Amino acid sequence: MAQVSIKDIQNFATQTAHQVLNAFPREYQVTLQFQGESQNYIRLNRNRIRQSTDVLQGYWSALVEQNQKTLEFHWSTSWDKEQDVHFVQSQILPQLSFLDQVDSQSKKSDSPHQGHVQSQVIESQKRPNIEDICAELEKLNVDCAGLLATGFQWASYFNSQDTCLWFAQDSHFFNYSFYTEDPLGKPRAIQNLYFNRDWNFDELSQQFADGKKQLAAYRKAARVLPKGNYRAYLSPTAMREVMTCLFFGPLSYNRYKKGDSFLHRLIDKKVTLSPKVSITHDLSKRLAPFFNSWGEIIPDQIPLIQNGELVQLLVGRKSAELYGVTSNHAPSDTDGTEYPVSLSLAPGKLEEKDILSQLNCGIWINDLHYLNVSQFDLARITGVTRFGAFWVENGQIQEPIEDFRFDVSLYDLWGDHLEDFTSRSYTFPHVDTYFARKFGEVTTPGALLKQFACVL
Amino acid sequence: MHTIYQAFKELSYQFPWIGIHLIRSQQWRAKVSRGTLEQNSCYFDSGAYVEVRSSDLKHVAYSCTSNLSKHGLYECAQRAYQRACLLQKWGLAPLSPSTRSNLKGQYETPTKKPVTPQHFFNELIPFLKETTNQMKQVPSVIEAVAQAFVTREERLYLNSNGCEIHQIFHLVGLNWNAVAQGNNDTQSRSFSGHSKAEFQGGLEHIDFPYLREQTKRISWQAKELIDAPPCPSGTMDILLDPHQMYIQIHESIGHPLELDRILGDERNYAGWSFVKLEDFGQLQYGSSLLNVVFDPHQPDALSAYAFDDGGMRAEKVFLIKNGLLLNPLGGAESQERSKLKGVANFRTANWNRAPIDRMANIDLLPGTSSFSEMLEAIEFGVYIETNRSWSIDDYRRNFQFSAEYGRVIRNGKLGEVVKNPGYRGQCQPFWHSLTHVGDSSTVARSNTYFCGKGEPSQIIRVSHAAPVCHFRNIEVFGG
Repeated sequence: MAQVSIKDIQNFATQTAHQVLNAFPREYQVTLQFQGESQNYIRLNRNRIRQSTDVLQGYWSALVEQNQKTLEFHWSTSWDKEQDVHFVQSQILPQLSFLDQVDSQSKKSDSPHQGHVQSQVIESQKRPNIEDICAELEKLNVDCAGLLATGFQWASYFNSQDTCLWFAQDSHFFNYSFYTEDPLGKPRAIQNLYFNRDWNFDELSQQFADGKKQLAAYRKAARVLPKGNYRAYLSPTAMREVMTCLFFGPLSYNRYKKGDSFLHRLIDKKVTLSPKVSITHDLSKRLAPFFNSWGEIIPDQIPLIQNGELVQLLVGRKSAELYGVTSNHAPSDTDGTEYPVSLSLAPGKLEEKDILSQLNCGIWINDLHYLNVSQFDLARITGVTRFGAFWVENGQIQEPIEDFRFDVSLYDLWGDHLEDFTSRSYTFPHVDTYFARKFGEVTTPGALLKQFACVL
Repeated sequence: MHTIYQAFKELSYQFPWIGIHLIRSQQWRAKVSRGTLEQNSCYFDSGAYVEVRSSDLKHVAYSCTSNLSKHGLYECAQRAYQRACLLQKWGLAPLSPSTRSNLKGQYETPTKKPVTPQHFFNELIPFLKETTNQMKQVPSVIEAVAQAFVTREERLYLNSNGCEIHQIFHLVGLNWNAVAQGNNDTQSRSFSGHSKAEFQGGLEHIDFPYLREQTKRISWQAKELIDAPPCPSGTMDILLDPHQMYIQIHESIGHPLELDRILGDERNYAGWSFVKLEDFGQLQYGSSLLNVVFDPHQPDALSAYAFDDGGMRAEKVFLIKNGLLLNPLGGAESQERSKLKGVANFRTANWNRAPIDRMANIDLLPGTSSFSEMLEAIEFGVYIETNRSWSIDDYRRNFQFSAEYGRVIRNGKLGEVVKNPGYRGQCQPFWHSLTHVGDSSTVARSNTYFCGKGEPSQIIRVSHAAPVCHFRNIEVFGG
């Protein structure tokens, strides 16, 4: 295909899905998904283009069932209806003989929405122009590295009962860093994300100008922070990284039952968090598909933690069948593992204008990097500061701090150590691009902490 | 395949310079939990990227598609050409056509018996069921899970320099994990990434009795861990097993030596490096016992290959010799940009991503110390096995790793089992604290499919062999 539109893809998918489903003999029950992206990825280093790649990728997934035995198949489309159908006939159908060797399981492939047709398409009117971006960066005379991703993604679900669910969104982001040197010649950086469905170059230019001003914070040499506990403020960007740990699987009912949730003490009511902590799986921003891989409609909001206590986990169809619990139609993999796509942490009462004065003496942390669970049972998280941490005294920023390592239990960070969240939340669409751009986002306020441990 | 050759021939006449890289694969995956097959899937993937140079031949752009018809590839080439020409004005650095190979060659994973779908269903899945069934019999083990991946991947690279590289890889991956609960604790123990279970090769490489014993061992050790005391904290000596050494090599040698990273390409995402271009040949990276090679010719290693994705022949190169930093991990593009020699590691994860500098087999060479000699040199310390958690800063200096299983060392002898062993440090001081390097009897290889890097991001397979190593005065922490 040449430069394609969402409509082109939707037409191709709908027509091909019908024929692919018909290619399977009637004794099999089949559900079908088709997802992918049309993207232009442009990578910048030192304000100029390092690599430019456009990608058109679409993958079919079929869940084939007979006598409560299932096999999954995934294959890349040829973008030709007849060839895709031929592929199913020549490559997939011969593999169905392996169904005999699969264990019988509870029935999976019935859609609760037979004949349901629903489509949500978010299109873009204005697209970014890389030449404008490069020219503006050259004019600003900054050292920029970053990734521009522009284009659309789609997900869909079909079954032989004429169910057709379709989600597509056109959106663009520029995730970038500005680099400078401090008085000792050490590299220092700030990072920003500009995301929009309709590109607004004036907004981006203003963000560039603001970012260049932020680099002035590195005019002083950085101090090295001795190990110890400090009052701290985690910006919304840093909190996004903390929230990212919740995408590692601790909120999945299936993983909890398998002993693989690092929040099991919270789930077992052995600990509670601060009553200021409320977390919801929240699709209301329409940055992710409204349906899951079983063709079920995901509720707009699934409350998970309310006032510091876990109220429910993400429960998908397979967990409901295996463990006799009620599904909340959460997104889940076919092995039963539930996963969040959009999480929202409720804001607090701290006004942004009061952050520095309330922090008074401590650390302002702009961003965190490479978080991982360091001690499973205690929900300890480690990581390092990145893109700016600053020492604050008497409510005034004094100088940068050399990046340092922290190691803290989420039960403390969101428990006794939490003073308040800011009253304003920020939404960060996912910028992950492994295999393809990811749907979803994190919405979070900043957090003022009574203590935060610097361990290295 | 024939269509690709034909399309390439026709497109060669229509564009100043072109390369086509076809990648197609078939993979079977299974997941078994406590004797029950939970997931079983088959992946067929086929696509290509087309790389086209600008009219002055100095810039290249990529277009990726799974439409492998002549028309599909032509449209791709046209789009790539338009963007390559844009780079004449906005490109970072000119890259000559000699950054791609003109070689012809073939490679296939040596195997007598590639794993077929029949083997997968008739031998591997029953084995996973049998072993996980046995694992769950161990008291306190609440979950026993195993996974299998069997992949055949074929890559064909053609370019206008006359390059024609055809490589076929046969990959097998088996892993197990046991989770035990009790004593108000949850502990897991894995057998994952081990070269006897994840490798290039075929059915003849799988030692079923050995693997059966390993799955029993990890189940009992998971139980042992829930009753074990926490690892002691403080500054002490550590002895790292090869499956902990692999992450140490990967994060604090492999990534900092990637030349594209040193050149700043990764600054916005994975980060920069404390290593500078002028450090090669100058920087004493670690103690004189440290010897590290890029060695793509270990045929069973997950990332063994004969040619990289620019068609360059892959050769063994010393990265660090006697502790002195010698060579970076950079492919031909990075070599041209930096004027440094590198290695053939310009690699892509799949047809939907452009190649970048990646690790492959990065091995720490054995020394002369036996395991018992290393133990005897330690008055008080911890022996640490199997990585569980990892984190390192964006310049690859400040790291913290946690592992699954530890044993206290007292007066040169292994003592009680301890849980949640972890340690942290700064990269260069850490490698300078390397005090003993185990002999070849202590060497093992670890493999992973999941090394992430790049914008857009890609995951690629890598492999690291290492002996047991002894480090002095490291900050250790436990529960």
